[in-house]
Amino acid sequence: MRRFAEILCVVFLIVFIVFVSGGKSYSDKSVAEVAEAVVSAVDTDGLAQVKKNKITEDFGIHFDGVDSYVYYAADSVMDVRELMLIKLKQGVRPDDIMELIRKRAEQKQVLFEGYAPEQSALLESYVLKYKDGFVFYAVGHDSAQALSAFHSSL
Amino acid sequence: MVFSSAVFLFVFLPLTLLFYYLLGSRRNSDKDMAAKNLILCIASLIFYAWGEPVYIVLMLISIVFNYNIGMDIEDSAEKPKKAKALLVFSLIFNLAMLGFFKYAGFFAENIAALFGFENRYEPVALPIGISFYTFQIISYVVDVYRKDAKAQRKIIPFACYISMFPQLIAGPIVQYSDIEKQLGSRTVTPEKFYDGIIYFIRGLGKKVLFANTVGAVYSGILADGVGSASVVTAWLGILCYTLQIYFDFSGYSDMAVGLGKMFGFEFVRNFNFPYKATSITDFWRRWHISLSSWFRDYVYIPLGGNRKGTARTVINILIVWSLTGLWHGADWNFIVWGMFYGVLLIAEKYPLRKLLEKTPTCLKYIGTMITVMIGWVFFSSSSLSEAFTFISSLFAFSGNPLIDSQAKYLLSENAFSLVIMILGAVGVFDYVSAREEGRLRKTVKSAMYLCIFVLCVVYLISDTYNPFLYFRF
Repeated sequence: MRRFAEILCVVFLIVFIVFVSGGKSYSDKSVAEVAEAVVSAVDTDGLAQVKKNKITEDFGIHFDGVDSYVYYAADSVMDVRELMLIKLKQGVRPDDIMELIRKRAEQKQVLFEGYAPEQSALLESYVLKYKDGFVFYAVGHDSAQALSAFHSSL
Repeated sequence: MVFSSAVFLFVFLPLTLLFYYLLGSRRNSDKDMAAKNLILCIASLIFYAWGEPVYIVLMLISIVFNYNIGMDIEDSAEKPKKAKALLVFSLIFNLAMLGFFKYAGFFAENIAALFGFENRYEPVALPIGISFYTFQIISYVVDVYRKDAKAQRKIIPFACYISMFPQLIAGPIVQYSDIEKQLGSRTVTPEKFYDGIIYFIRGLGKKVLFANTVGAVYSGILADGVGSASVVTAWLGILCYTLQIYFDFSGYSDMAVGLGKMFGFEFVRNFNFPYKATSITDFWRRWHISLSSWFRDYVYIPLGGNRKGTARTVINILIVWSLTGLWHGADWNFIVWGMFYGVLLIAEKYPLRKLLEKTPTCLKYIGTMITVMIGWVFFSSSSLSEAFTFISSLFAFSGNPLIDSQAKYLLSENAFSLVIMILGAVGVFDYVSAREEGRLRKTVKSAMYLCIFVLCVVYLISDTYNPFLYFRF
């Protein structure tokens, strides 16, 4: 019985590895190409590209694993819309960066909770995805369209 | 989920403690212990699944496999060859799992570079805590094989040992023989619970008030480009990282020890003021003690330790330290970092031994700290070339200016907090607090820790910078 359980575990491990490895690839597209498609799908009024080290200041993201990125944020402090695309260097795992982004999104929700319901709702429905070497993060009314453009552009 | 998050502090932990103490009464009967272990196990699996639910499957596979093989090894004690074969089977299973999820990308990259073809392998996400729980599992099967511990015949306490959330994602690495009895019987007194809270808040303070603050300074220096930084800025940067990694990791370990106490466990101490060390050997007796102990007990001693002559001892030390480096990350800079320490430890053990005995303590202290800081350059960099760029700035190899306006600004802004943190890192506050322990009334001590906790919560809510360095391992 035990031997059977052990062999079953080995089989499950192999199946699991095949499952998590499926569909992994790294896109040759540049961040500018993908950003062009994504930006065209959203309303960028009031959004502007931010300065060089803003992703470190705002999210705590180091540049170690980052190949290139674009980051749009709103000029007004009460406008929570954001759009960020990060192309990671080949072989870099997205986990750490996604965790930092997730954390930042959660903390921003806490800031707006209670007194700015519209902003709070937008922050709660933030979109964070990883595909083919790109990390996609969007907060806004049209984040679903942006995500769809992101997927189609890769 | 991280300990320094609102959801952990105000939802997960209170609910887990509530269920734990509601369902398990204070009498230490077998039934109560079974209920407590079950609650702890369920809570741990929820904690683990919070960020990455898929990898809970991997952990469950690992628990079921090693639970069965542990019993098999014990039942084969009369047949040494069979027991050994089962141990090897288990080691292959566990190391293959760790190897695939942690090192496959690194090997693919290097093989591609070696043979000159394009690497199209995209590594999978790293399951959080895999390095820690795999090492705990290995300690279990080896302890059972060596008859240092009995095989666990109940799956819940075993699952509890592997998945226990206080130490699951960042250690300390708890060896099975150290915790075997506690899984079957443990008590929590009000004093122990109070101690646990104090430990936890102290760790939270180290992480939130110190590590995050100094980490933000380091990130800023890195973002501005360390290659063109002045010498003072570069040293300030690595000083900040030196403090960040200590407060970050030892803070997390303190939180783990504190949580363990709240649930009745006693975990090993993982840090003992490493920045007070006066040699590299001394440093590694004080830094990440549970990892050093693991490598000593499960690699260095089985390889022969220092019992087979000088040449073999040197080889054993180099093997252990290459593996220590590789354990921290699948990259050449980690291997170089490990080898760097291997070579230094050999140097202290043999050629420099007599010289170091005659060297004044203050010089040994300064030398140790500079060496450790240079070591952190390799550790913190994402590649060897980045590490060498950093080192070049530290020693002005590329004609970097000695000091610039950025360095002056950073010094004026952070000098006070850096001094406070350095005093904290070398144990001045702990010394004072231990001296005052008898005189300080419990209510005053509690009020102080409550203030630290409130301050941490304020920081956590208002500050967005809250990374955790040891998650990546």
